[in-house]
Amino acid sequence: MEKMRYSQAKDLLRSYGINVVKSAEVNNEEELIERACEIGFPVVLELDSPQVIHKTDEEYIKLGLESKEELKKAFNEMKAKAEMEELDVKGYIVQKMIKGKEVIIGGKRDQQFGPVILFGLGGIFVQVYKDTTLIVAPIDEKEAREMMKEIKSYSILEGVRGEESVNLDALAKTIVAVSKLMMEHTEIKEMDLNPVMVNEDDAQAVDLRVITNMEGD
Amino acid sequence: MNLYEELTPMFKPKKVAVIGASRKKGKIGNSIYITLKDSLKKGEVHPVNPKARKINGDKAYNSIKEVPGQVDLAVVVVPAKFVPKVIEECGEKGVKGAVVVTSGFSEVGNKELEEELAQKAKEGGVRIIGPNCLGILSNPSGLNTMFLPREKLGIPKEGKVGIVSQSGAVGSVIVDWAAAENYGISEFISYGNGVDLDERELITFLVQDPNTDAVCLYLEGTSNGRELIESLREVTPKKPVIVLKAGKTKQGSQAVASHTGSLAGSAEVYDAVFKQTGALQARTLLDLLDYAEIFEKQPLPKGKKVAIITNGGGFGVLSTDEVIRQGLEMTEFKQETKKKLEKILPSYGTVNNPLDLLGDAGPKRFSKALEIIKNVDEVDIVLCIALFQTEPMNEKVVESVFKFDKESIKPITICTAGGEPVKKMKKKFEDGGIPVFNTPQRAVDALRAMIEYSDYREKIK
Repeated sequence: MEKMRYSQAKDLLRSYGINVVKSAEVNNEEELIERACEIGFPVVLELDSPQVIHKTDEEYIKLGLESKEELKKAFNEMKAKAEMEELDVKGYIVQKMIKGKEVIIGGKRDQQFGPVILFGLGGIFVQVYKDTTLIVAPIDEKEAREMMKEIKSYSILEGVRGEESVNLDALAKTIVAVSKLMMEHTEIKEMDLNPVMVNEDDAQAVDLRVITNMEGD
Repeated sequence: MNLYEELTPMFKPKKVAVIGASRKKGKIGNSIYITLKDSLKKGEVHPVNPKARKINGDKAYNSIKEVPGQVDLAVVVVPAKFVPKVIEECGEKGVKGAVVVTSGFSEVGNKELEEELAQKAKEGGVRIIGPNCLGILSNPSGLNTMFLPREKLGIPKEGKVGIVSQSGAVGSVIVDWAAAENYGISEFISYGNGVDLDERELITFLVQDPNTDAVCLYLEGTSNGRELIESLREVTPKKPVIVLKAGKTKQGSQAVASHTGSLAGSAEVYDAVFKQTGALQARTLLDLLDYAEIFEKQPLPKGKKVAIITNGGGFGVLSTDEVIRQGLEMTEFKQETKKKLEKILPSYGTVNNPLDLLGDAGPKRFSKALEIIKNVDEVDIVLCIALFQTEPMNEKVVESVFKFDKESIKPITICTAGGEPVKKMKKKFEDGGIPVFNTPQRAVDALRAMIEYSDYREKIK
């Protein structure tokens, strides 16, 4: 089992028409500040290391950095922590902080049934509420729409108390794209797009994790 | 030739040979032979055993090849190591199919022997059920290949439910239970290791079988998931398939590295597969039979609005709770219906849903209420709670329910509870095609399964 590099995973997803949040990979502070200014604040800073699976748990992600100063401080703290823990650091990722509702879209290659697609309420509560549903791939947009309706939080996506609905079409398209990707890329064992931030305009994958089979796995 | 036609000689054989039939009482080869001989309504049964001249007074043959004429089915009970050779001979003889009861194959790690058996079956064109199984209990033909002593296993009456079970032990409990619950079955098949005919083909066979209206499947695992999906997709639009999947707890050993990985365990994937293919899941053995019972006996509902008629207020309330909990709806009676219903109640009664006919209600009040509800649009399903402990209640209620069943397109189910006297009523209802459950929970759950199935059929149209 091996985790695909972020940049490689991002390119792969984009080639399937999946929106991935604007981001840049950087190696030092100078580069970081320059790219953050291009992307626009607020931003999110993350460590890129194959050893880190759950970034939130291990504090290798910092959200809502509003200014250069905040970003610099977060960077230096993260760097020191990674050095202390002797992690294999591939670089740092700075990305646009997106507002919206968090969902998870995932894929898994089941031993008996092949690729299955997961959809549900995302973010850090995914393991707590487990408000998710599964479907065996391949699926079309109609099936993706029905799948979305199966989770308890669906009404939140549609908007409660006069709130506007998120772009459900964009979500359905993303689910179908993940289904297609899982069907075609048999080397992928598991993948999480978590969270996918969805708002009235579109759906963007903010964090990615693509796990591939190693040679002879 | 479809699968049903191809396998019919195995289920309705004109000539059966029991290979490994034995003279010794208590041996499997003996009990199978005797049971089969007794149970098969039409057709000959011959023992094959090179060491015996006669078994149970019948001439024993040295080999299957010596049995005169066309043999449709061989029941094989010889030791495992001889099975491939026996199947080879069956192929040469032109036997259409074999039930291999013998165990000692892949289930104990003996994969090579099982492959050899598969190979011989394929070469000889012999379809196989088994090995390591109980085989077939076919009510239409009487065929019974089960080696279980008959005094220890109830045989269900003939009905329209087909049962396929991977496990022999679970299968025999289902059969015994069905007999005790007065549920009728068409075919029961225990397929064991499924070296040739497996769950996919057997459910397809049952769906094509005109004597079967609903199919039950007890499944532990499948060797080809994608093909199972295809088979289910093909058969569920035609007849309901109810699955009890065992082994649904999480496989702890498999390493996962993502949220999706941990949320999409084997159990969850099976759930998704059944939902996607329109197969109905039973959580318990009892559910399996309950669902089958209602599908066998009643038409699919047009919607999910339930009218409850009861002579016990408490049972009416309990049933209403279940209706709401399980996602069905309670009918709101229209004014004109209310007016009609008011006329049949005593002055101290009120018309509501649940419709409480009151504790002094007898068959007449039930009959009138059913007569009114029979044709009203706002009711899709009738749940009739008939408690027989009160003085005015008697078996005439059964007649009015039969009348409703005959004249209305709406499904009706009975909930009744109690001891021995109630059992008699239950049997009367069931023998006349009315499903009976002893708790509101079971009754409503079975109705919910019907709605789930009719929604699926509607969805795929």
